[in-house]
Amino acid sequence: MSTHSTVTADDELVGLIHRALEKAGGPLSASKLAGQIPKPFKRDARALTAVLDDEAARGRLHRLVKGKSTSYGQEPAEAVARRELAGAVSDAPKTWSDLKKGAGLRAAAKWLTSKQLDALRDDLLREGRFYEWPKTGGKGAAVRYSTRPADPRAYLDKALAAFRKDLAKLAVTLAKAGVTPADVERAARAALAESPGVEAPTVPQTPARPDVRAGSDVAALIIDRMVLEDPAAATGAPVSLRNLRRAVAFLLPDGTSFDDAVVRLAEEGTVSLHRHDYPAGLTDGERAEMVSDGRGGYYTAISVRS
Amino acid sequence: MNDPTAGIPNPFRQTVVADPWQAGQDDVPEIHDEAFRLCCDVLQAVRSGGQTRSVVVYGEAGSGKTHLLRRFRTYCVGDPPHAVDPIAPEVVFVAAKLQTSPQHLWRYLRQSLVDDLLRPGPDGTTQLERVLLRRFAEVRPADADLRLWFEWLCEAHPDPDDLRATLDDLFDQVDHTVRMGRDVCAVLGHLLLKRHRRDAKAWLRGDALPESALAALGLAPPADDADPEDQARAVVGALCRLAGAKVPVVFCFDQIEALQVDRRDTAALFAFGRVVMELFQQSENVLIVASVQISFLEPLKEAMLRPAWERLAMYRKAIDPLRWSEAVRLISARLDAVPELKAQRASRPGEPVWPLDEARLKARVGPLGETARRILAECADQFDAVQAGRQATGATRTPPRPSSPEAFLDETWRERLGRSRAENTPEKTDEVLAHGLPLLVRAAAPEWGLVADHDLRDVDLLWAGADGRVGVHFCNARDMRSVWRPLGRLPELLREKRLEKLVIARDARLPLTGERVRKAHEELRRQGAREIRPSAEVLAALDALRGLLSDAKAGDLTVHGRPVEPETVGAWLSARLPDGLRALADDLLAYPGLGEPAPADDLFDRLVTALDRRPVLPIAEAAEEFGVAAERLVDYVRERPDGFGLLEGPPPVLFRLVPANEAEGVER
Repeated sequence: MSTHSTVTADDELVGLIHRALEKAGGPLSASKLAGQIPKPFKRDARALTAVLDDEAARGRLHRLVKGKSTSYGQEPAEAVARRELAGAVSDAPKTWSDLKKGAGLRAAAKWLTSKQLDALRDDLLREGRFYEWPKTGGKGAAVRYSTRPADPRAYLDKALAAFRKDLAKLAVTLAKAGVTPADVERAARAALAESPGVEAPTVPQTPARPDVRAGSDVAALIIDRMVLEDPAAATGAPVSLRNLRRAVAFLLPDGTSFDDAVVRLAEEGTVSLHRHDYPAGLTDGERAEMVSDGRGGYYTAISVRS
Repeated sequence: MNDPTAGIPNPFRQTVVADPWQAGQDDVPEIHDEAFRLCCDVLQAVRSGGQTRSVVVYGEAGSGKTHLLRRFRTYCVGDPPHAVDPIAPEVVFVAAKLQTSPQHLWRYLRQSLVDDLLRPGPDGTTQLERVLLRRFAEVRPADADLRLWFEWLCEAHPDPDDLRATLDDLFDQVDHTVRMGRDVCAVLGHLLLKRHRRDAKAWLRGDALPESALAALGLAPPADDADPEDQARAVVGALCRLAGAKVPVVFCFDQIEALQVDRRDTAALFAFGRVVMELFQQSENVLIVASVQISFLEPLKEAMLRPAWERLAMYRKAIDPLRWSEAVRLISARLDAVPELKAQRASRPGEPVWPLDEARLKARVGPLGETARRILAECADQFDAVQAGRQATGATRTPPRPSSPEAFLDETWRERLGRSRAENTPEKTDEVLAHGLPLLVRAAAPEWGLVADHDLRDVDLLWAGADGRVGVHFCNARDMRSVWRPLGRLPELLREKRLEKLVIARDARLPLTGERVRKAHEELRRQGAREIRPSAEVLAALDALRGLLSDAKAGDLTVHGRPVEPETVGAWLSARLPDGLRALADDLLAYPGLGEPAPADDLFDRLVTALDRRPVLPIAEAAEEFGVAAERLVDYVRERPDGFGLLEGPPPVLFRLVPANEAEGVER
């Protein structure tokens, strides 16, 4: 057999391994991978382990070890867990235990200690990727996590109950002075409406949500996200606007504000927007994820201008 | 009022750079300088780092990607003649528009590499000669201009045998380190000495040669089981190694989109990724520069294996739309390239785009910028308007009415067909069929899907539809040894019912001859295989079709600076598909007589052979020669209007068909 055909066969095998890992969407053990390699390239788990270790040594795969089990993935365990966690948190607030029960995060968390996983969560909180909802004190007392800020209604019940109790006591006392309970209620509502409101806390709540609607912050945020999407974006590599829109959706959930922000950046000369050449061939859904130029054209990518 | 532009050709008409080898004087170095510098830096990194690397350049259609590659080509190989100096930096530059099929990628790469290696430069030398002379200088020290050294070597060895022996010795020494193999060395020797140039080039490109030509080159026939893709990959590897660690080989891949049958075709991009991985694996001195449409940013990445993507896109850079200041530079450069205009413009320093309308152009560019092609298209329209004297006031300004895409396609089709007729040779037939047939089937019978089955050896293309699978074997070698072996293997596929229909495709200009081939052919017919014999005219039309669709996919087909969408071209083709192409698609996919033996018919090849000898042949003589009735022969020829010409007479006369352009040439 010639050198070329040996090289090709190995290359094919490596290609198939990567394809199987991509399909799985997470790490796989050598024996599971062996089961997914088609016949002409079939290897037993032991033979495959040698190839996998070689790929890991070249930095093209990541070897994940916990106890006696070893698996191989295309990303480090932290990156997979981070992505899964970010994807698992939604509008509906969930407790930390509920989040960890999700199949994706459960599989990814297998390679991390609880402490590492907690640290990942706290990192994402600090980055503002989602919010922590404090304990309410009543039913559902546990800390919960959501992509939207906590709903204050859930925290008012206790305070309102105490207030009502005090108000009832006051109504009994004032009844002797000819004041009806309805008068007390009305006066209390009016006084509440006139009161100066809730004082801003001296220590900001966690997370400190950036004022993303301020122009310079938005610019920084968008550039940061572009570089997170592709580190080469810092030197002019283009980033898909669809991906960028999704990446900043937690801070710019309104599509128009995203469109306005990137167009403003382009007008300032900070970035360039690139039109899709054949928008007519796209679906409405695909076009909606791009940025319209208002003349029938659609921008599909963004790059930092030199 | 005098028209300042009277008699001056519109300097903005040229808006498409067809390929990086196209000559041009309109470069503005400040535009897209950063992308250009990136290519130069990575080239230097390949030279100094001894590692293959890559750059992907993204941009909208018309943003200047191919223009950038042209600037890079000029940087790499230069325009003016220059000495072959062993201590000066040297680069091999290859431009490949990927108008091919995924199954033929290595063969296409080989052809592109060889074509560009043998492309004569302004000083008459080829890149191959330059590389070879540098290699010789390593084993037989020489300096200064190596062309002079080689002239001296030839003069010092006036006896051809003596010179050949000296060169053989040099090749042996080079081959010791480069490992090119005997055949490659032999062919390079012929090319250097300018002997058997046509056949030597054909062999190096991978064209099948008759045994007589192989014998003249001193080469053995190819191994029976050799996979042409493997052979092509080996030759590309050998030629890259020949260039050497300090001479990077730059492969510029343009129109990657053209590999796809349609936008959903990810298999083609996957195959391209595999070729990139193999190229990385077998080379240390290659720089891949891929220019990719911005719309293709995600689809290309998603269709490839991650390792393939990481190799292809080591460095990534977007080509920005031009802002007003850059647009002014571009427009001024075009205007100042015309001496008469430059002289008049010198007296108008405050009007940077005179005689064009600055305000209107500024509005066209807008705050977000615009592509160079669209700006130039607007300038072209304005220039026409100035010349037509219609630019008196804003109210009367009306840009020339753009022609409809259909009218544009009608005109472009005629032009492309003419070009394809002129360039259409039997050596191109495999390439035209491999790339063109899937596109034709997509346009004429989209219900058939192109599929791959690597277990079906000798089947070059395979479609699956509701009625089963149809495979095509390309049979276009001139060398009958190369023809009969696969023909001998193919009946087994039919016997084992591994596909429902097998079609043998052979260029009508290439007769099948020889007893072994005839017998293998007969057996295939007995097993129910069908045959298609596309004429030169049909192949030219197929070539034009693939060129048109490829350019559309790459955004290089434009009306007034705006790309014509592939869907528009597809719809236009479906409505106006030439009869010959429609018949070809029907023959390929139609099912009558499925599985039944086809009647024996070697008359076609006998007629082609006879007409090769005598282009005009009376029917009576032909009938006598082939032992068939004259009436039957006339009917046979009438049923094959693409294969043969017939003058009804009386007396009826048979003649060889030649493509229209060729015929016009003969008349002239």
